[in-house]
Amino acid sequence: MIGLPHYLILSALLFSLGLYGVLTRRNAIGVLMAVELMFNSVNINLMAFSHYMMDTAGLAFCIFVITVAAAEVTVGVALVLSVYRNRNLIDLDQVAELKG
Amino acid sequence: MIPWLSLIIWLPTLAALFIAVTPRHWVRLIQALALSAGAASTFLSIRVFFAGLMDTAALNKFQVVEALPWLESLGIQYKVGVDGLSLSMILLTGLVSLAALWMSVSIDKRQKEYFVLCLLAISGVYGVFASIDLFFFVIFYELASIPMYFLVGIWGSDKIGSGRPIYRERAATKLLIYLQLGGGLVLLGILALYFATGAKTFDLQMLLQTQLSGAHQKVLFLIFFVGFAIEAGLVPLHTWLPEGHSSAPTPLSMLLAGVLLKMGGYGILRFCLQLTPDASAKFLPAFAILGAVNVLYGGLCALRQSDVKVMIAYSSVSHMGMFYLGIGCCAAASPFNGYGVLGAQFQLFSHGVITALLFAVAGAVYNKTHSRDLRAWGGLGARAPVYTFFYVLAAMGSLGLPGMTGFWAEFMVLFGTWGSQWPLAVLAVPGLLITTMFLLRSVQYGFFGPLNPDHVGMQDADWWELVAFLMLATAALWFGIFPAGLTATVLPILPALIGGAL
Amino acid sequence: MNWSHLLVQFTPELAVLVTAVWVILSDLFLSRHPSGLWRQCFLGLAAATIGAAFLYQVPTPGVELPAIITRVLLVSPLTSSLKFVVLLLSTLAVVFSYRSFEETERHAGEYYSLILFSVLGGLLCISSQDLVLFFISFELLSLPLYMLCGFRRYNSASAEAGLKYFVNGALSSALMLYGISWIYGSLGSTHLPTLAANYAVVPSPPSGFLVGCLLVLSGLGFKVAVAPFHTWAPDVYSGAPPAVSTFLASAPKVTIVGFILRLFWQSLDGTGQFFNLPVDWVFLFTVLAAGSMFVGNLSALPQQDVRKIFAYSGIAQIGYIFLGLAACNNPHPQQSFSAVLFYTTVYGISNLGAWAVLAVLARGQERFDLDSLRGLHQRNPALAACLALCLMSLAGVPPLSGFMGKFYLFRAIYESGLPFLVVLGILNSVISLFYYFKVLKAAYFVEAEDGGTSFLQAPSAGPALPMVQQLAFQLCLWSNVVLGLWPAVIGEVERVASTITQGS
Repeated sequence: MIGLPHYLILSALLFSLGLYGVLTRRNAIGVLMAVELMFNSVNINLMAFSHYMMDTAGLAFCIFVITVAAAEVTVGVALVLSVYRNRNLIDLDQVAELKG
Repeated sequence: MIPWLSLIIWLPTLAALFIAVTPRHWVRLIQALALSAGAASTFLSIRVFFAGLMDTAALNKFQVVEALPWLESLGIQYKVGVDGLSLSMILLTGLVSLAALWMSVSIDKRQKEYFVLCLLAISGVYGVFASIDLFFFVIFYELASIPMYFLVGIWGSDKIGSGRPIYRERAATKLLIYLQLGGGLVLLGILALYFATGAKTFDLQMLLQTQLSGAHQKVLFLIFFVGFAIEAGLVPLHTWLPEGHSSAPTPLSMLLAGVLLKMGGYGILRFCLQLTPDASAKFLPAFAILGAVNVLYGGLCALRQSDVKVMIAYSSVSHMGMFYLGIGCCAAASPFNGYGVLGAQFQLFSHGVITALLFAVAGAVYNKTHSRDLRAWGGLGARAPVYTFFYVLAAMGSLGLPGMTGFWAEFMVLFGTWGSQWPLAVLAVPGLLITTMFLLRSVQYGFFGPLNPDHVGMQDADWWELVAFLMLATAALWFGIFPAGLTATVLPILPALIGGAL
Repeated sequence: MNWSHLLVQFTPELAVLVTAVWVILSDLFLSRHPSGLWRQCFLGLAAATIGAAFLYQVPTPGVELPAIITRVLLVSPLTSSLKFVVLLLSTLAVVFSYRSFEETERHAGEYYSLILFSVLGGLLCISSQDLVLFFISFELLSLPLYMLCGFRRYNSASAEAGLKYFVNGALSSALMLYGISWIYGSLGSTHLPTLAANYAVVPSPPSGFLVGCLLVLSGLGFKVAVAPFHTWAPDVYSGAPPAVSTFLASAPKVTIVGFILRLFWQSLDGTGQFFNLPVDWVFLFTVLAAGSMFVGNLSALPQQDVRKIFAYSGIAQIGYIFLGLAACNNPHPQQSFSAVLFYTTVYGISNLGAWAVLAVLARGQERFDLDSLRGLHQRNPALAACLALCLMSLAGVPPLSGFMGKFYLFRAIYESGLPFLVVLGILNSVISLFYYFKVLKAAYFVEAEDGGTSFLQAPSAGPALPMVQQLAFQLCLWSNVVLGLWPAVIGEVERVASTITQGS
């Protein structure tokens, strides 16, 4: 029988994968995808909680998150493109003109 | 009722605001504004001093108190007043600041900014000595020290002759950091005092009536003492002093040595001796050893300098040692101990006037010869008798010739020290000898002997410089001949400092 | 249900929203004249600012808002005052960005609409009573900022700053969102008062809730660049156009600090402990604060680029604010609360003033190392004076506002029984003097390279500033003095803080 903990573990795994991806991926598009993974793990969390608590607020939140994630990716891709146009590369390790 | 003290404090600020909106090339107007505000403040401070002298018995409490509510929820108010401890300091500030403003006439670049900053600093110094509310004490303290950074850094001079060079920008940064470290400690101490007394007020009059526990006293004493000793040049913490004082432009050297140093000394008397008497009695005799070190070390360093301003700065270190020796007597159970503290307070005034005069003459000569090296001056006595006269006068005062204030200060300090800790007095006496040596040596090199051919065409003092010299010299001589004029103001407050009558 | 009251209560938000949409449409269809767009944006924001001030001054206690609104949006003296500060800072930032992009970028109009949308997000964020709305408004605040940082598309530094800010910001959003999902899951609601009520009845705090709170805190920490979440700040601040940094360094930070105050301390009903969690919040905030102060101050020391110095100074300043937040965690947080509010306001204005100088200078120069400020006091005395007062205020020099802020803050911290933190704070203030005065040294000590012989005309003076910018500089300059010496301001802040624990 699949219960709430299973969903939570799945989402935690996805979240950790996403976090790992953001921190280690060098390709900017890869980082974007990893962020997307983190957002979706949140969605799983929200939906699972919402289902098991019989509360619709989580579902509504979920739809908002999907919308915001789309907007987020749009902005992200635009910025990646802008860097690519300037320098012809999307490798984040090499995008290091500004060294703190 | 006319708020005399507030006028004294805020007239320079008012003038600074006027100068800030004056076009920068109207130099004469700027100078006139600054000088008239400074003169008005000085005149009023002399007036306040003599008003206090009329009724010395009342000086054990704050007089001419003015209070305005400011931020009641925090226990802050604007409150100024004078008592025996601060009365002579107000007079000193008046004399030195006006003399410094007269000497500032020689400043030849960016006069507008210079006078704005200088007047703000003068306001700050007056405020420090007059404020009874500790919050405003901190504000005035910083108002007096922050402009020094710009004044030293922009209008100062570098020492590039023999020995280790001193650059003004570095000296300014060092001065800023040291003074702010001291200011930070003082702020911490004031916050601690605010909570330790439980009075939740920054009003010194109220705080003086509360009793602090022994542990609180010790902590507060150490915070305040270190904080103020940084400003007042105690030896391990003094290193900003020779650099800052010598790099500053002449009027600023006068202000720094004449009154800023005294803010530290005044702070120690006010906060350590008056607020934490038990801890002072415990610790100050030990710190008096550092005072003896100050006297000797400062003197020996001064002996090695060929740069006249660095030499005078080290002589300040040496003379401030006398102050620490004096306050070290505060605890000893001998009938002489009061003389030590009295002498220490006297030393603040005396050193302020005399060192300001020394710096004024040295700086004026530097303006004419463009050299701070004593050996490059050579025989100026033949060309510049006015400079020579006042330099010799100041040197005599500094080395403690009877008839000038320096003698009384050192006499009283040594008298008190002899009664309480005679080995320290024995240690300090060679310091006096060293002082005599380096001062006479500077007179010898700089003003007597063969004339340096570079300075054949040298001009003697300008009239505004003469005014400044005369003011300071008169004060040094007047109170040297009538020391009672000063001691009478301090005597009423003395029991509060040493826990008993003289 | 009375909708006219709704209009009145949310005048600032509506004004900003209408202006934002109007600026987009106007840019598309009406005006091809750039300064027209600027004017519309400025007027909209100014109207919103005045509206917020009015709402703060004239509270309308009898007004019944529709429940559907009050469930998600809160109007209280705290939110009104925060909105006023944020709007004021945004208005000033827009004033200082005048003509920053009109000549160089093709789509200058978008700049203004992006700023407006970001401000709108900030306003909603301050008011939000529900975590869903908070998240959306937080994103509305952030997304335009990413684009603004990369606004100079053909400048690789700017594009890189945008991308870096985006990656860090997206990460922080994700962390926060995951935290919110756990808060929702463990206490069954996203509505803040309901959360507090639910929390009060559970026997022991659910661990999911704890994790959620920490994640939300770290997400917010990213946004305000508190160490150890600060690594993006120096790059982003120095890469972004200075006009954008001016905005970025002021209004969003005040917004987030305001929200942290509300989130962690408003729904407390007087108990003082943040939800009585088994976490030492004082210790946590102390570590964040001390880390920020030391990292910010020490890293700023060797910097030669003024923008980086400012960025690190911002990190250090957030450290002071977090010190105040640490001191909020006691049964009587009003003092610390008002101290944080006051300090945040002061910081916002002083920091904005300092950045504004760079924003204006950026119209004539690309480099911002210390040498580039050489002789500023001759080229433009007003700019130099503004820079000097703002930096000295940030350094905490009396009698300027920064000193009053620090004094008030340290006093509150001491009163909370944390004198050790006061020592840390004072020590850091002294360290910070080094680099603040290093910038002032560059601006004041040396004369300009060309000339300096004649002081009748200022050598190499840049183009004269528009009148409105000159006025704004005067405002920044004098606000440092007025906020420092005018006790009524502290009285107002205390009044606002006293309303907080009444649960309104």
